[in-house]
Amino acid sequence: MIRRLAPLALLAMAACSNDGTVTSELVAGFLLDEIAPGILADAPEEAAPARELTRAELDQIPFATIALSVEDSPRAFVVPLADNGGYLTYMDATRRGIVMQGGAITGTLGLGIDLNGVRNAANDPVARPTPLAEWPGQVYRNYQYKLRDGKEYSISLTCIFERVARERIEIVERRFEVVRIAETCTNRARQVVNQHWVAPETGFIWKTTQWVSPQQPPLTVEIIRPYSPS
Amino acid sequence: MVAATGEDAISWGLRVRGSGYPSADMRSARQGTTWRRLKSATIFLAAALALATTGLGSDIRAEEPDAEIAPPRPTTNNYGITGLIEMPSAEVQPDAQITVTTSFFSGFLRNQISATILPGVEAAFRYSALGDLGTVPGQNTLFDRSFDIKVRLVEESRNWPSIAIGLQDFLGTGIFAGEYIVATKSFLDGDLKLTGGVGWGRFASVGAFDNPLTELSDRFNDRTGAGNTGGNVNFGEYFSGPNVGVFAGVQWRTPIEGLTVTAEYASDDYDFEDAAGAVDVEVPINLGLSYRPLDGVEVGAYYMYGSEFGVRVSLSANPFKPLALTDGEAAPQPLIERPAPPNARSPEILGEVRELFTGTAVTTDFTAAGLSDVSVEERLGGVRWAEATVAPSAGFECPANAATAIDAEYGVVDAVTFRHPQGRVLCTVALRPAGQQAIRLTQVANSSHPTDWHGQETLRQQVVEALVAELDADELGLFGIDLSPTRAEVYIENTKFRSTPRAIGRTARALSRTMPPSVETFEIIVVESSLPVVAVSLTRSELEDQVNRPDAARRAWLAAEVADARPIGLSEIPGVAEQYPRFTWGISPAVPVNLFDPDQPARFDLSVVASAGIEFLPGLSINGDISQRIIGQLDDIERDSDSVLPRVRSDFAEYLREGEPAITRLTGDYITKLDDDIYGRFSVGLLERMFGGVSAEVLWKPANQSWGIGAEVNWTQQRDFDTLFSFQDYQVATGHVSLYWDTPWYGISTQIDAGRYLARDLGATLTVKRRFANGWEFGGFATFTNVPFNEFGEGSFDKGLFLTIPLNWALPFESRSEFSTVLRPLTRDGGQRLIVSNRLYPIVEDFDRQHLRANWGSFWE
Repeated sequence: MIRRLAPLALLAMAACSNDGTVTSELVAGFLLDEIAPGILADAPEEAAPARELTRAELDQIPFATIALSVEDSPRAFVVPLADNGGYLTYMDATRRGIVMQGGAITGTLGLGIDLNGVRNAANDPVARPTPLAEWPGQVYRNYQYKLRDGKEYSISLTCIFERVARERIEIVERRFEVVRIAETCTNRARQVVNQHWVAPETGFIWKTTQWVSPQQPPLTVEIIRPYSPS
Repeated sequence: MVAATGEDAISWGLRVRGSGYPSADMRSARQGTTWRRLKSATIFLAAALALATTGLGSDIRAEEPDAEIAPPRPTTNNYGITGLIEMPSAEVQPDAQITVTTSFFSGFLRNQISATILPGVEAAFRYSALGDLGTVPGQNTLFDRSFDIKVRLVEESRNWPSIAIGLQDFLGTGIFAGEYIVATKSFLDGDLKLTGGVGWGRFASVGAFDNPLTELSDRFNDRTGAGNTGGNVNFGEYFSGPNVGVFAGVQWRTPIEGLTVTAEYASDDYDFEDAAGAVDVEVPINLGLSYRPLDGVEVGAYYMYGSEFGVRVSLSANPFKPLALTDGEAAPQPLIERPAPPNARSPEILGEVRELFTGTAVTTDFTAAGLSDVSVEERLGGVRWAEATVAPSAGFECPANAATAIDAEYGVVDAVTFRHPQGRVLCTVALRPAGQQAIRLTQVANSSHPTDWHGQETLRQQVVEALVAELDADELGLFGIDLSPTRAEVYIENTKFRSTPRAIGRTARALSRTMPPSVETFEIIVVESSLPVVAVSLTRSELEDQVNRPDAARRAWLAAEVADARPIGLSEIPGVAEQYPRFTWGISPAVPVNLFDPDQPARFDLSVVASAGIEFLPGLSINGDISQRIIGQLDDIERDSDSVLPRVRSDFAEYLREGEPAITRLTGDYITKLDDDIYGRFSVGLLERMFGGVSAEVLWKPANQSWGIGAEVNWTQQRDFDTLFSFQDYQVATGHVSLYWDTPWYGISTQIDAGRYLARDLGATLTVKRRFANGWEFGGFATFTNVPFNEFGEGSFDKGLFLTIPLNWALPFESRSEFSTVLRPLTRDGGQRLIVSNRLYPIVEDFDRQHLRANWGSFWE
């Protein structure tokens, strides 16, 4: 049964309550009671490839939600567990996850050599939603890590933005009119390309594929339900 | 003559530091498909970054390592030093690289352990078995120990080669003794390397010319060569002898990954060995291949001197390059930010708060803004905060854009507070993240949360239970807790995380998730072996402003206060007394090794060590260890001691033969804090395998100081060989005064112990070791006493090397376990110190400011 619940392990969620405690049991219970039966009813004992959740099922989740994937892997749906001054911590039941500031991934959690933080410019439109017309030509970022030898180090990149095309993308059965932005970040040792699908008027990033460290493949984040601090 | 090493002196074993609790379970967290892909990709890509760093756990944030452009590590020669085949090169291995090399040709077996002890400085210890050169009747093989050192004087640059100077066999019998100066230059992006050098002594037998140093002094004419009893540094013979030899070589890194072709012209013609018929040198040229299938494995095959074939195997590791680059531990729980206090008074002080970060164009001219009484002051944390009074005509609107004008006029202002001429605060504008944080801290400082929870026992209990649950999730133990309305003082026991700051950080997160909002100060006291060692005080609101931000660890360190933990009474801290008595137990394997016995140079045992203890009160305990050999050869040792000193160690073979099982420890112990920075220990019983008695120690080691002083006195009696409860007649009072200093350079720690040793000899031991933030240690020690070298016997004085490798360097999960070994070339009776299991300094040394700082990068992990 545990294996059959594997897709939901990534869905293990919680939320903040007004007394500062985390209600992970509550949310996990909600998911198992309300969503899992429909998914798991006819699943074979040794599970076949997991079926992704539908929009209708995702709409039952009363929290902000993102879909996280790596290359062509299935999506993992995760909700934020904490909002620390605009830095949202998304984490699953096995305590793996990411930290996001706006549309920027500024941390990875429990993925090996983690990205510990990103120093970005005050006008970085990936971290702070900015109407597309106001995006700067280039921004500077500093990615911070610590290796297991105890040594901290950072990677500094200069990033430039290029409009690729207007596109219509679909995120779990919902379509969005966006502009795809190719962000090329370079320093003397490396060049990485991030892709952002941006709502032009608000600058909100609905989908993004970002480099986070030399040790990890790019991560793709899709916004299922945007987070609102209120 | 005893040429062997005692089991107590050198043993490979797995030990858990701290209280002796069983180590944490190997938990494999369940992962979804996404994470598995991430992890496999991580492993694949990890090698590139493994080239990472220079420097040691320093507080200087390094820039991106040149992972993609760093050249491959140079090859090792048959002497275990960076070089060609037999000859050295001017290259050195990366900082802290440790290599074990075995080479063989023409009946000569050389085993070496070498290390780059400092950047550009290589040292090696060698144990050789030289066939057909035996000098003892009936023994065909000559066994020899020797030490080398090489120092890189000039690092290679575009126009200059690297240049190094080296001493081979500078501390030993001198069979391989020689000195050299060598240069190496790379071409073709490092694919081709040319080496050339000149050498003295062993290196001066080919291509020789007159030693130019003899023009400086006649001293350089004489070189007596090998033959002393070892252990002496022969300063007078370095760079001496009538001739200087010339050697050279070329290395080509082939397109085949890891394969290097080497040719050398060797200036050592093995004159002595050739004369003895042990080797046939036809031409002084060696050719060979070396292949490195993995970064830490290198094999070499050579055709040597026109007549012989040789092979070499080198295994290498580096503390800076963990075998397990990934960390499979679950991430810490999120830090929960408190809701805004209900009675915040910030409007009176700050007015309306706005954010107008830099990048916003200056739209208001400073002179046109009509501001008056503009002042800028530096506040806490170096934040530049301006105050300005608006023009009376401006009304009560917030002139936010004028803040950018002030920023432009005064340069780098983080926040601006505007006042109306009547005195009312209109608004405060944050111009930078630092200003944003300062505003938030000001809001917190001028607000208060309800504290009525503290008056209700039930609520307090609920808070503690919630904290225990949070700490349990990270396998941290709550030793005690003292709550006040605004402060939580928690005592934690960490048996899981090697990095203490990581345990502190996780505790801080747990506190943020469980403590009522009025608790603003977290004081986390680390308890080690029931001793409250160090107290780290953290401000909750600052943590809330640091988490997930860039430079979060550095900012947390700057805001943390480190102090000595004060001694606590049993009933002083709630929850402590209820934990006693406590039981500990453990079973661990041990592999005692006996090396360098000419009868059999290496012997091994596999033993099991069972440990148990009961702690009645904090620090008051009874502890025992029993060792039982399962299989091995150590009971085959037949060499009898020839020592003229009291045989305090050299009868070790008797203990190994008769001590099955052996009670290697059965002691009553009491360790305590006598003052905030003074520790005390008293032990009585069977202190170690060979001695029992009483031992008392006191240590002064403030947490904010990099050095400490200790003193120890012991009265002991030698145990019988059966290692049970009976004693021999030999009694001795010993004691030492110890000075400990963790230098600020490269993690080097030093220790001097001066006093009386077990054989009643007087002297001092100097220990120097290099400690790495991730737990690696390597170093050496030497003891000089009033026992003359000839009376001491072979080796002249007691000395040795030691190495500690943390288990989690090689495994992808947290553990405080480690492999540790001490390597003594010889075990004699001079300069031998009592072995005590729970000496104080090893308990406290990882918890001072310097070590916390070195590991603070893991605070948020």
